[in-house]
Amino acid sequence: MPFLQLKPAEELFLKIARDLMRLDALVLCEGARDAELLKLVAGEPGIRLGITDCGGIREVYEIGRYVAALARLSRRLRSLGVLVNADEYKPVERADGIVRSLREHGIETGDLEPISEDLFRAQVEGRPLIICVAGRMDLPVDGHCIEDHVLMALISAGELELDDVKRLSEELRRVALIRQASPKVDAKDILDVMGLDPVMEVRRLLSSRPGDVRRAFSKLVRLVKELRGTTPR
Amino acid sequence: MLKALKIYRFKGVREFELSDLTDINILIGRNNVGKSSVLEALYLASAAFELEDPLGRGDKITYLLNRRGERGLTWERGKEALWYGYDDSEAIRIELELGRDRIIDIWLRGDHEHPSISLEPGSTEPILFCRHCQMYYHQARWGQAVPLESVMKKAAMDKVVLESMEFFKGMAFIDTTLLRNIKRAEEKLWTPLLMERLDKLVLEVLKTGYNLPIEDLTYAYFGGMVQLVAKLPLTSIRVDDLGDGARYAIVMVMAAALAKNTALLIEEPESHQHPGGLARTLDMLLTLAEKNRTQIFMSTHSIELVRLTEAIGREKGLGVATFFLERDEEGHVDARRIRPSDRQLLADMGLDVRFLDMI
Repeated sequence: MPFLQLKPAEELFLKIARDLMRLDALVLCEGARDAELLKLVAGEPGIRLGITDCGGIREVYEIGRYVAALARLSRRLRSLGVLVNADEYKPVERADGIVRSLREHGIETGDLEPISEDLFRAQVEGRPLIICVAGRMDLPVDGHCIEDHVLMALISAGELELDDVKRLSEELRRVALIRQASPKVDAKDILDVMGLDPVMEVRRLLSSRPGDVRRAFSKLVRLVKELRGTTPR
Repeated sequence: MLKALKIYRFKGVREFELSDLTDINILIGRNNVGKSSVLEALYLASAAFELEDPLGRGDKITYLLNRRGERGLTWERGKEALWYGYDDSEAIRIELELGRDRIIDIWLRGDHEHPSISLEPGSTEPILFCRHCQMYYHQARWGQAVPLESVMKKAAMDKVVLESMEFFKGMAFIDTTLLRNIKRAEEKLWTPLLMERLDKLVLEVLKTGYNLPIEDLTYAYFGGMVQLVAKLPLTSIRVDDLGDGARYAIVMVMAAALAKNTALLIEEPESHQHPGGLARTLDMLLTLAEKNRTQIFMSTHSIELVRLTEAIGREKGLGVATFFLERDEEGHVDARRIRPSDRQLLADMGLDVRFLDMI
């Protein structure tokens, strides 16, 4: 069973309208690129898994609103997944922020349990919620996001060195200071300055070095595995 | 105002509960999930108080038996068409909550020679209504006819029940079958409309929503009979010859203009409507609903209607609730209430609220 990407809605409309589609689980990502990357790297989900995004909203409180609406309105979803960027926070702080937001929106969540360092489990309206916090804390950047994993895939494939990342980060910070802009650098800025499109790079690497990509994105693969595990087939 | 309802064993609905009802209630969902059955159940409930259809379609129960198939069914021949699974061994039951401690329980029994509806308004003795002889009875003393007024006195029916009766008696069911025979609704409604000069409202909607430069509506002899015609600057046109969208709007506005302290049941108001005409008609319906304290129940497949109603309702300070209905194989109907903010959140995520059964 392939993923069902809900956006762009216009493209999916015929499929939804013509076939009686029912989803087992749904992953909510911050933005469209996160959803696209998750779809690429996670492989065959084995369940009817929908992927969507909330239009680039980065405030955890706002993401909680979306999850709360899904939790309240869904009858069929056996589990829910959330993929958020760590940004400048620790993964546990990010996951905790989502749970707090859900509670503020009147949703029962239960306790937040760690599955791994950056994967967490809570409950929403009696079904599992798996929170995956994207970003590699070992990369020398200021804000951590899903593009960190693209850099790691390039490093694993031998196309980039960790020192290159460090050097580019420092240069970008210097330029930002000269321009009196924010000196915060993340993997997106580095890929941008290298002229690389993250989605295109992952597509390219998947055809030649799929193992490296899956290792670099292992937490996303694990997210889908957890959702599959909580969904009886 | 109706706060909640429960329906048992009626048409395609074995069991259904709906709460948190508000000023404007929109029912959405796939085909055959029971949206129209909910409207019909309310209409059937209103038959306990007033048998005659306010839009000129005869008695309500016979109309319900025939409105789709037009096969000439009667209570004696085909009443089971009203029952879930065509099994009339148990009564159809419609429980309606009009406020705290104001519950009216309506039963349609198949085991009587004639259709009868019992009212069990909580604090009073159960009353049974016989449609055939149009009399009310004490349920415990079946066979002993008692005029309604005397029963009311005897059972000390309180003000609440009387108000409830007003609410149900005025209830109108507007569906597209009226387009095939607008004459009946016109005959019933036009004169009372003229008496209060509410015809101006119909004129306003036709002028602004349907691109018709109508100066007035009047009667003219045509084909040897009196017919309603619209006066245009250079000619006149029979109302029968207007487009279906405009004619449906006329019926909706006429009924809404005359409805007071009651509910309007409207099946697919978007039928034959351009969004411009629909917006204008909805604006008028909601204006009248607010003014006349009329609750509205609509079934629809149109996301435009949902969006327009939410927006107009917000402008006018009216509550708007959208309910997504879904029925399982055993006839249990489930409703999910969707707030306007939920609909927007779902849309942001690429989910069309009409396909909520996906999740």
